[in-house]
Amino acid sequence: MVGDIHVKGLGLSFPQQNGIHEVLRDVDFVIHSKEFLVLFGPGQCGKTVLMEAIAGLLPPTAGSVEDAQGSPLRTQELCMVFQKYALFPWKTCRQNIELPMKFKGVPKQARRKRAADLIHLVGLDGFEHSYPRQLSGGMKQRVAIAAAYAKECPLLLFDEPFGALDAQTRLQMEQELVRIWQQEQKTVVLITNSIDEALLLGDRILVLAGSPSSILEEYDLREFPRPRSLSDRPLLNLRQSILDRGFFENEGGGDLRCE
Amino acid sequence: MLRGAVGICGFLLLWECAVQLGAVSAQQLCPPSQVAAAFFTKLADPRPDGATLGAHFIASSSVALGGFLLACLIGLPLGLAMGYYQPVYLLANPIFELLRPIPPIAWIPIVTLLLGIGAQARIFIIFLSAVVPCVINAYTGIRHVPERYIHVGQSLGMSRWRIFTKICIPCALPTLFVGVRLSLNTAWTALVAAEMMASVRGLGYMIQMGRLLIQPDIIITGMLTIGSTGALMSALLSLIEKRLTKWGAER
Amino acid sequence: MNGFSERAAPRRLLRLLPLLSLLAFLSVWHLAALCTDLLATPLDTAKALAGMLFFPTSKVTLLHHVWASLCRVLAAYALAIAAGVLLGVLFGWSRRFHDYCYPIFELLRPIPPIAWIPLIIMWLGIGEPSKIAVCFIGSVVPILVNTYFGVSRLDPTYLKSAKILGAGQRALLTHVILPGALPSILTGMKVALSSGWVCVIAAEMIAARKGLGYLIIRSMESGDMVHILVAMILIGSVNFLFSWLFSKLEGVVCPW
Repeated sequence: MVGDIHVKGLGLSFPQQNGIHEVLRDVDFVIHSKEFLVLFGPGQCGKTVLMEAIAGLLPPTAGSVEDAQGSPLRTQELCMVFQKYALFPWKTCRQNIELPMKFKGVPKQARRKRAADLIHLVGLDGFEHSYPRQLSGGMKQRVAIAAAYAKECPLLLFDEPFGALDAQTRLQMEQELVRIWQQEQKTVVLITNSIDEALLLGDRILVLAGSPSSILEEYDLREFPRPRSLSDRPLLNLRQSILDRGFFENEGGGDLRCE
Repeated sequence: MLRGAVGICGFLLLWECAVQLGAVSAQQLCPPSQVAAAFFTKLADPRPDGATLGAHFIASSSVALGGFLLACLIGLPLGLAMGYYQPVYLLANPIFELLRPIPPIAWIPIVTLLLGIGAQARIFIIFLSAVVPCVINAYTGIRHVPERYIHVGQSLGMSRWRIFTKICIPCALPTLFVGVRLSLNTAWTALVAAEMMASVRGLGYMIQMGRLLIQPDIIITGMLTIGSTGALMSALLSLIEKRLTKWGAER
Repeated sequence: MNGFSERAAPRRLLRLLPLLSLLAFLSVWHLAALCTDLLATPLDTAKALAGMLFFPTSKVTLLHHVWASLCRVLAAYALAIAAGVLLGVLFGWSRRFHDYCYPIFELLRPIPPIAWIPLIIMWLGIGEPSKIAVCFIGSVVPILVNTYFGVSRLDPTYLKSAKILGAGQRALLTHVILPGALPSILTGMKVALSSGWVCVIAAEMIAARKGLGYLIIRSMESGDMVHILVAMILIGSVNFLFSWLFSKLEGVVCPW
């Protein structure tokens, strides 16, 4: 699958005890091939739900997600890194990374080699045989990212992957992610609720907010060179203007379907 | 749930048909209708083993509860003391660990030889089996009291005894209750074993007799009575537990 | 460690306490044996045990009995693992199967395995199958319940993640569900082994021609206290051995 992905008029509602709860309404945007797209918004649920709809884990109540040819996305073409580390605790680092290749039927030798390359790419040499419980939060997410890349699919979805990390590790991981993205050349969509993270990472930022949520604004950051730094004046100005828009003034309504 | 009801009805129907249509010999298994009939008959009829269902039930329950209460009265304080006072632990634990692997049924012959087959013998056997979960859970409950609670007590100047009674025991209450429930379960199971081998009264005896007289309806009636009583007692205890530990495990 | 405050009691004295209590226990036993006619002394018991184990000519059948009991329990245990894990996974995996069939299981579950003995003996006679059947009932329940809990309590994120990574149904089972539920399954297996052992002994006590349960009942009927005690010690030791083996096994099979 090459080319852009179109999210058209996506809507998602959940039946609840007191009626239907509409989480997403009329979400409309394009994911350009090989770009780093950031979905930025407050709270938790609207964004995760959108991700899962794109990934095909949740069928949308309205609208669709299509590739350039107009057909729905297939699971083979995408991979997702979850908010809560979804590493399997009963598999070692290397086994976790090899897993998507195993499911695809890649022969052992090729799997081993690719896993070794990926482990090196994410900087975890020496930890191939460690179990997840022996790793720190940042390391676990690195394994998760490596496993996602091991699937060799054109689209990668990241659901607030660094949310549970401390500030320093988070900064480090953000830089790592950009480096890996630049090297591997895949389409990445990342969700975050941190404005700084959005500014450091994205080619474009889409603001997802409201209740029900939809795309409220789009910012194009392609003119900002990488690697970015928040001490950069133009970037700071953009940051201020986004904050001034006050997208999140009235957040906090209703109880959302959170996991 | 509706599906569950359907499942059970289907099961009973299958059972009934299997016997009525001769797929299973009537000697070996009787249909649920016959079991139900036997249940109601036995409520009033002392035949064929000498006592009504009610009498058996009372005999069983009283012995089981007796042994259970004795086990709680002795086992819980012992476990709590073992958890809190090291000398008690060092004295009691070796003997406890020595006797624990021996299953309660293995005690039946020796107890029968020494105490006969009266109610006391059975109560003693039940006590032996029910005391184990009481002790273990009481001990574990005390050991898992977080250190900081004890430190708080110490910094408030409480004596060891007061820390024990005011802090440790309430904190250990949930674990204690799990132990009490397990204990009741164990007591009930041990009772059935004791009655099957050394008794002339009680539900266990009733099903043994059912086998000797080749009356599967009595056996199944007995089995279901035993099962439901056990389940009911467990449920009752759970309710009491919920009431008494409303403050939850963590405070 | 908490609860034990630092006492002034000398360490050495504390270390002696277990020894003292064991000695006290043996002395009380010995005294009781001397007082009542029925009980056998610890010494006699030890002698008989050693005699039977090391000089098989006197009673070649003792190990024979132990072996008979062990065979039954292990056969039933193997069957229970197969059936328990299969059913447990089915109950946890398929909502439908669970809704229709679990209540039937819940109906039969509170009946203690020992209470099944008369019915099973009526159906299967007093040969090997009836003992294995009773032991099976005792073992399959903990395995089934624990497997079901393990499967149903699995974090759904693992399943989502596996699907996203490209797992098919079979891969989901072998790579996610079974390993994820394994700690639970092992707990169930540990309880099941102990429970099965107790059931086998119980079944043998009621109707058998060989086995430790049979031995203990026969000794009771002939008033042979020494052999009762020997049998009790053996039964307890096997039980203890099973627990110990399992704790070693857990570390190996479940390194996470």
